[in-house]
Amino acid sequence: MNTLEHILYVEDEASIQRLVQLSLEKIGGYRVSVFSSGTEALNAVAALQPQLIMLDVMMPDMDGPSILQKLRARPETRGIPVVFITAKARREEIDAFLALGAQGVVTKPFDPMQLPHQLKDIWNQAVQAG
Amino acid sequence: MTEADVWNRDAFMQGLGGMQPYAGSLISAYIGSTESHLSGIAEAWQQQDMQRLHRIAHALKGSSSQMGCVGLAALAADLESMTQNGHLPSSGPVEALQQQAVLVLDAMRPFSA
Repeated sequence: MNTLEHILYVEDEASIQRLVQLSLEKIGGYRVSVFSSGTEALNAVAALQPQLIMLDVMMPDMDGPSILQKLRARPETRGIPVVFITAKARREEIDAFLALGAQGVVTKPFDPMQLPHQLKDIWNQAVQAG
Repeated sequence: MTEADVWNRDAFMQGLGGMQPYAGSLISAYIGSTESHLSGIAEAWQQQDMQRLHRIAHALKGSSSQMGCVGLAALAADLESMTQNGHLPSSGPVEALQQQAVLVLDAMRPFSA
């Protein structure tokens, strides 16, 4: 599939979750599978096979970097591009997230009208990089 | 503190662009999660659970900055930073955040869906 259609999103903060989901569905036209915890998402991801995964960084159950590590350890999810969404916006923090193997970082506050385009750009770059 | 520091509704609405029809439901979701965070903060302070305080302050910082609540986002960022090392010397920052959150929620409720 060479167009981005399906995104899996993990976020525990209800208001941000709602805003991101609306942005990606209504503005971006994507199908979005939303989970409030890493455990739930990891249980479902293999069956859903999303093309892109967006993870909040700080969550009580399992943080974003831990979820990324588990995704990379599984053959069926290893190649799915991952984007972090975070209020940790210092340059060194963003670099650290990228160094963990994420393909992109979205910082809060974000522009909900631009978010779908940001994700599409990140996904396109990841697909081209192979 | 100005009204815009409590909740800059104009900036929030402008930032939504084509998503303005969903403003009411977003405000409603924010009010619900903030109320839950305030309960969590009170509980965490009572139990001196600094890790939980830190985590909630971080979540509140992100959601408040997204919703245009500049003052509350700043107080949450302060609390997040102060609890980073697992120690908070007084209840002052917690109380300041709680008072600001009450102002924010009062300002938002009329616009909730």
